[in-house]
Amino acid sequence: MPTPLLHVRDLSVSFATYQGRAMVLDRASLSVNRGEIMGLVGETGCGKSVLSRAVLRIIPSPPGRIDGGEIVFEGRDLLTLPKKAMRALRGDRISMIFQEPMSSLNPVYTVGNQMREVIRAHREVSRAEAQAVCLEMLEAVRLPEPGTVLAAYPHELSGGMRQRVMIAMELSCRPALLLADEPTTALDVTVQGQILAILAELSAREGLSILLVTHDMGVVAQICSRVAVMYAGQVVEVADVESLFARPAHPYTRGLIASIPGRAGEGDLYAIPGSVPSPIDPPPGCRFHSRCTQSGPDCRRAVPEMVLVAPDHAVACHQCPGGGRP
Amino acid sequence: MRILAYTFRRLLAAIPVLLGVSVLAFLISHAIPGDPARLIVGPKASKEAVEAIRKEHGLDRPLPVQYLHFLGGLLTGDLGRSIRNHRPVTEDLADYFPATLELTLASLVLCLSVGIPLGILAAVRRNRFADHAARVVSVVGVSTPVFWLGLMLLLLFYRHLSWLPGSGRLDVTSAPPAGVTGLYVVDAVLAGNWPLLREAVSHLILPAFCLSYVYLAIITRIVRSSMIAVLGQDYITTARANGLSAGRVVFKHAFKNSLIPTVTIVGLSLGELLGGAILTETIFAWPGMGKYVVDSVNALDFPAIMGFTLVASTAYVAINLGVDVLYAFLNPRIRY
Repeated sequence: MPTPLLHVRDLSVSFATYQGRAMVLDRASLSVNRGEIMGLVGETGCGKSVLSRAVLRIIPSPPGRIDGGEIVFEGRDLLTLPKKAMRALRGDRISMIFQEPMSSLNPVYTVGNQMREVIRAHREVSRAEAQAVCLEMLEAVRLPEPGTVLAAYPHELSGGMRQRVMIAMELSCRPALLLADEPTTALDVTVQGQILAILAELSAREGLSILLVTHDMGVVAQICSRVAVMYAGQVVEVADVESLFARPAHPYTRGLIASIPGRAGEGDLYAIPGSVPSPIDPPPGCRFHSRCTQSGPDCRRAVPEMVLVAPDHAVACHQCPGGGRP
Repeated sequence: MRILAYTFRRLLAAIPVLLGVSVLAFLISHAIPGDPARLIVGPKASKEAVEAIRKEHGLDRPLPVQYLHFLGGLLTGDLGRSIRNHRPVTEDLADYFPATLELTLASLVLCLSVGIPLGILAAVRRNRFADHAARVVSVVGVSTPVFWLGLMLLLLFYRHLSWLPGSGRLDVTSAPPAGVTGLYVVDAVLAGNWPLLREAVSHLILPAFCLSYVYLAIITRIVRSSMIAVLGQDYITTARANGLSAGRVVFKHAFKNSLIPTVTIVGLSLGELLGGAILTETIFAWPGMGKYVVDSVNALDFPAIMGFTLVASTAYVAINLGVDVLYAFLNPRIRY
């Protein structure tokens, strides 16, 4: 097993709310290997976006707080890194693209202004050199007329074009890791396909690792090589994409896969019964037990540990064969 | 280029606006019950004496004729003679307007140089000490009556501490600098007269602070709230995620976006300030338009009232135009 590029271990993040501290991430662990596209799936509010933002340490604080764990990237724990060193990593070694291409670019500056700024924040280059890198990147994301795009303001571009601009901007310093937080959710389906194709191509060509946060199992199936499934602030299953779809081990993962439209058969839409527990006062034991059809007495008492059920397939469930207790 | 064409169109459109203002001002001022001629000659004067004054100022003619006469004069730059002091109104305005303009600009400088940084600080350090301090400053500002604030300033800095002069634009013994702009501070600099500059500035400080405090408070609050709104935007997260420094995130990415609502408020405030800071000018015996217009209204001095109204409304129109042009520079989504 090669050392992973990114290793998140037992990461806990909480937010102050008027009702109390919300444990949004509770000892979540996952790793991303070099050059792979790792999917991070789960329903809205499960903490997947918070996890990706925690890697860059851009969780607004207050109210957010990283309570514990470690985030090892290229051999360094990012949580103990001085602010300045952390800032130097952002946009350079680790980049991030967001869900809303409409609002992720500053409306009052041109695309070129914003792209050059990122490059020149990390590289000692002239304006002209930065400009050349911008043009090259815009071509890499297959934007026609890159010169025109650079001179344009964000509102003059379509959503798909803006997301390509974001990708070009975020990859302009050749990062090792791209955090993509629902990058296609706000786009229509045809554009979504193009963006995913670009991400897959760049990953393959540049050896770029991508942590792709999504709630769309279809997207996962399309471009990810491995997947981590999150539920209520915890990572409950990690597997390569084939095993996950063929032999989902965790009841929640099975529910997720069953909920993909068109899979339940006869036009029925399957939905997991119940709703996500509150992060403020989470239930003891397995967080999924109240919605789980197979839960037993252990599930209410003890938090299940992640256990390998097959090579490169780990699950945290008391009911899985070999799962549950370490 | 498009912005120039736009400015030109707006200037053309200002003509009907100003005409409308002049008609309204004319009708309203003439609708006030009372006879300026009677006010001049006093209650015991003969009917003939009153009539003579009325005739002299054309007040015996029908209103539309009087208005057209006023308009005719306006085209040649003549605003008529003051009924009260018989001086041409243009001369009066040339005396009083620069004083008000100087006071207004000084207040504006104070408002912006204190209000904007304070608002930014409050937004960036939200719910911390600086924010609470800025909140106290602005709540005190919006809730302190100007007349009381002015008197307290005089009491403290003039009477007790004797740090600053309490009235007028210069010491009574000083002659104003050779007039180029009518703004003593600017004229003193142009003349290279440093002692006089010092004197003019020291006279400006108290009235300018008194006049600006309310607006400073409002601007601080507006900058704070628009800054907080902007700092929550996705592109700010993008900027931070790209490893830009906190300074660049705040001053480049957030500030320009937060200026748009601020410019609106500043424009409105500036118009109000120019419209005559009557209380402030009275408290500090500042020879500006505020005091002039109050005296004119009391004397039913129609030409003076009309002259003031035109100057004030022209200033309003110009400021609004300036604000609209600034919008286009600040926000590329606005195209004219």
